This record gives sequence, C-alpha cells and structure tokens, in this order.
Amino acid sequence: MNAAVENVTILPISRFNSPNLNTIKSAFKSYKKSKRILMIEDDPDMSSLISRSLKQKYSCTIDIAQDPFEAMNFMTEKFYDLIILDWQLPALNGAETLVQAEKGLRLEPALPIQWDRQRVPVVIFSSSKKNECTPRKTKHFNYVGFVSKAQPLGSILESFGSYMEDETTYRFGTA
Amino acid sequence: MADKIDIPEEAIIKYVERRKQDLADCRAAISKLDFKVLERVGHQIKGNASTFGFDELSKIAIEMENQALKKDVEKLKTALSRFESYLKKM
Repeated sequence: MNAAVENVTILPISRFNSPNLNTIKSAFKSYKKSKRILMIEDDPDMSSLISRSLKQKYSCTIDIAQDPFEAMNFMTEKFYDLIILDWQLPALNGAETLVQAEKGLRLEPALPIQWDRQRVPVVIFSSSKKNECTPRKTKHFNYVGFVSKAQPLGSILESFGSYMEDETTYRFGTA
Repeated sequence: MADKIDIPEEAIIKYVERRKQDLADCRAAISKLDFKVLERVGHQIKGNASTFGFDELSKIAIEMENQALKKDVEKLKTALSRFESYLKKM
C-alpha cells in the first residue's frame, strides 16, 4: 500500500521507561508541525531565495504562486497555515487578490475542510510602505503583519520568524 | 542584529541575468514612453536589490520608480545609464 503521507515525525519515547500519559503529552507538545505556506510572489528571484531560506531554517513546505489566479487554484486544493502575500502583483494588488480569493473560496464546492473551520494568517511582504498596504477584512483571511522586502536577507528571515513560529489557530469568530 | 546569510552563487548569477533583461526592457520602454514598465521594474528592483546585497542598485531603482511616476524622461535616461554602469560592475 502506498499511502500519501505528509509531515510525519516519529517521536522517540523509550519503551524501557514505561511512559505515562503526561510523558506522551509532553512529547506531542514539543513537536512542531511542519507549516504549509503559500507564497504569492511574482518576483522569481525573491520567491526562490526566500522559500529556500525559510525551508532551511524552519520545518515547512512552500507552494509558490506567481499571480493571484495561480494562488486561487492552490487554495481550492489545499489549506495553508500561512500565506505570504506580495502587495504588487500582476493584474491585482494584494487587497484585490484576497477579495477575489474569498469569492472563489465561497463558490468552490470541494474545499479542504479546514477552510470551513479557521482563517489563514496573511503576512504582507512588500517594498511598498506599510501604510500603503491595507487589506480588507475577509472571512477566510486574517492579516497578521507586514515584512519589508528592502532589507538584507538575514533581517527578512528574522522578521518572518515570529510568524513561522506562531501556533495560533484563528477560528471563525475571533478577531 | 540579524545574521548575515550567504546567498548561493547560482542565485546571484540568475539575479544578474534577469537584471540585464530588465535593462533591455527598460530601454525599449523608454523609447515608447511606457512609464508603467519603468515603474514596475524600478519597484521590483527597489525591493529585491537590498536582499541580494546590492544596496547601490536599490537606490538607482528608487530613482527609476520615482521618475517613472513623474514621467521625467531625461532623469529616467540618467537613471538607466547608472543602472547599466552598475550592471557592468556586478
């Protein structure tokens, strides 16, 4: 049988120590699940460099969409733990991308079930000024922050750090 | 202070090749007075040049974007000359 298994980690619990329930719970708490990230970025130099660097530093898988429509196709097939969104994209800006994606998600009959349970955190990644990038509120997306592009790679990765390590789940009904 | 991270040589080679194409696109755009192309290229390079360690190129790109928004042809030509000179040094 060739089951498609993703993101499996074997947690070492010694049989000689007869682990109790608390030991097992601790082991699971320290386990950080691999994040599934969608990067919506039309600059191939930036998308390949940033995704490569994030994968080296954090446990994650990253899909790269070069335009809003490719991003929408990804979203109808998979749920993501984090979206990194370039603000200036071909055809639509970041705000319009999220609005159109929202419309697409509402119409799609066979969405992954997580889309019905929680909102996806979105980090805007742009060389525009932060106050020029104001996303509209949508049902499925939760704007959580802004990372400036015009800085050294190390600073960019540091800026992404808190978003990569955040385990918050944005259930519907939360701010 | 954030760690300095080395960028793979092949990424830098690809980056430089794309900038050469950008320069060619910008030269064609200025002859057609297509300021949108110049603005887009300037904006993109403004964002990525610092990440790749080319701070001077980022400054040139900011000038390109600003002059494209103002539709100032002469200053754009100056910026493109600086862009070309910088690429030769890269």
